[in-house]
Amino acid sequence: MKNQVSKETLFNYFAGGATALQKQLIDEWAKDETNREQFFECLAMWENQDPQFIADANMALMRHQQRIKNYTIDETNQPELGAAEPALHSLKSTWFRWMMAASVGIILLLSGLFFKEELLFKTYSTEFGETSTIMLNDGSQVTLNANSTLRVPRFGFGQKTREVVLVGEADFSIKHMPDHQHFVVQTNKNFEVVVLGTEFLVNTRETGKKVVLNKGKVRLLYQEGKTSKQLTMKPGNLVTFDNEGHVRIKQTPKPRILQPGKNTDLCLMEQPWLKSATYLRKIME
Amino acid sequence: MGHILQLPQTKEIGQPYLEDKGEASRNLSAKVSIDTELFLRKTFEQDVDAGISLLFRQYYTMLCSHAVRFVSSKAIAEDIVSDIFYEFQVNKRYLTTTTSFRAYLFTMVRNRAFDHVRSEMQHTTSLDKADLIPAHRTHSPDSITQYEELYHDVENAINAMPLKRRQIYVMHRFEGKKYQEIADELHLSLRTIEAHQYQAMRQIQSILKAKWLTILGIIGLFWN
Repeated sequence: MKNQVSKETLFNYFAGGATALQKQLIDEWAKDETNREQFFECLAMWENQDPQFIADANMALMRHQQRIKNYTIDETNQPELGAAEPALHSLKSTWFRWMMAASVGIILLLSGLFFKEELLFKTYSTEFGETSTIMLNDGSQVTLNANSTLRVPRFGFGQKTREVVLVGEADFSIKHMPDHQHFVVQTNKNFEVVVLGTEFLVNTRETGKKVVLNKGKVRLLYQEGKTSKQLTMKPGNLVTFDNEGHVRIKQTPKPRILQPGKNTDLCLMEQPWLKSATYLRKIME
Repeated sequence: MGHILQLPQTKEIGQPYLEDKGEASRNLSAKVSIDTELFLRKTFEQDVDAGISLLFRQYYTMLCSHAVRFVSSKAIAEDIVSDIFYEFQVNKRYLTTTTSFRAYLFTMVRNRAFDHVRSEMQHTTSLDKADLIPAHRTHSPDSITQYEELYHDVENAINAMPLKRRQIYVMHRFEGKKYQEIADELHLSLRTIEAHQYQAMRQIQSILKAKWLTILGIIGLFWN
């Protein structure tokens, strides 16, 4: 077993003269640790006999000593330098750098998109059974009914445009501006209300999409099918939308419908069953 | 089958020679090498700096000669070997190495050189960026003969080149001469030298890739 692979075989193999079978034999043989030592011993001998070139070991040693000296100086000054080096190394790759830049850009962009609403709008919302009255910058007053949300722009509100977004139900009391600036209530239900200065109520809930005008004049922009339409309301008008988007105007004797605080109690007993169901859905919504 | 047949063959042919002079020279060389290793160990125990300079004198040149068979550039070979000596001292490998220093150093050099060839094949134009290739080892061959296999293939690929191209390749790559120097020396235009060098690189890569791609890293496929 000891002489399975001879020195001559190995030399021949190093020089590229071994057959595939010999290579496999050497492979098996070198798995043993003492054999491997012998393998490298022969390799060293062979490289000594048949060198590709003669590198200057003395010069290399001098360079090495200089390097060690620098290392010990570095180590005493900044111990982390050595550890940080590999990381910097990989940063040098241009490909990697571009990827970093791109991903940072994408993250910024996405977070910008994601938080755009929060940045641009101030949101007021009410819980179930809660109403709140909001005084806007232009002096207009909005009473939010329960479970409703009003979004008001943070920047530029009252300067050029007055636009708010309503989800739910709210009663508006809009101040007329000296420059006759419009106040627009946008909804997510294919209609919006444009006014100058009046009092009115808007409800966007699925069960009773409606606008009620107390006094003054409002213009209603709505979508019927795919066409945009508009309608001018007079005081006391109640406009309701059915699920297909059709509009019905009714005259109501009692304009103010929203009664803040009423929703806090659940008294369904006196209500007709259909109304109760609607009321419950309103609470659930 | 071939394995079993091979054994008696080597014995029959190898033995007569081994008996008289081979065996004697082996014993002699083994003794010398054991003495060298022992001497190195003892020196390291007493004085690390003296040990390192002894290590350089003993192994540096042969390790460079070995590394150059893989990377075919004197400068890269010396860099690889120098790095390994540097790490050997900085990481105090002389305390933890259980094999002979010779086996350790050769194994390290072969791994690094192997890695270097691999990264060069992955990045087609990385010759000039050779120092950017990370030094860490990710994948080493599972059998010892794959190293020889690789440098033999490198050598054969170089030998297979047309003579002029090979001359230019060796001058540039192995000796590290600048294109301009080669152009002056061979009385050729700079463009010709560049074209030859480019062709030489392509040729070596295509020859090596055909055989080594799976071992040297499949990633190479996506890079080129």
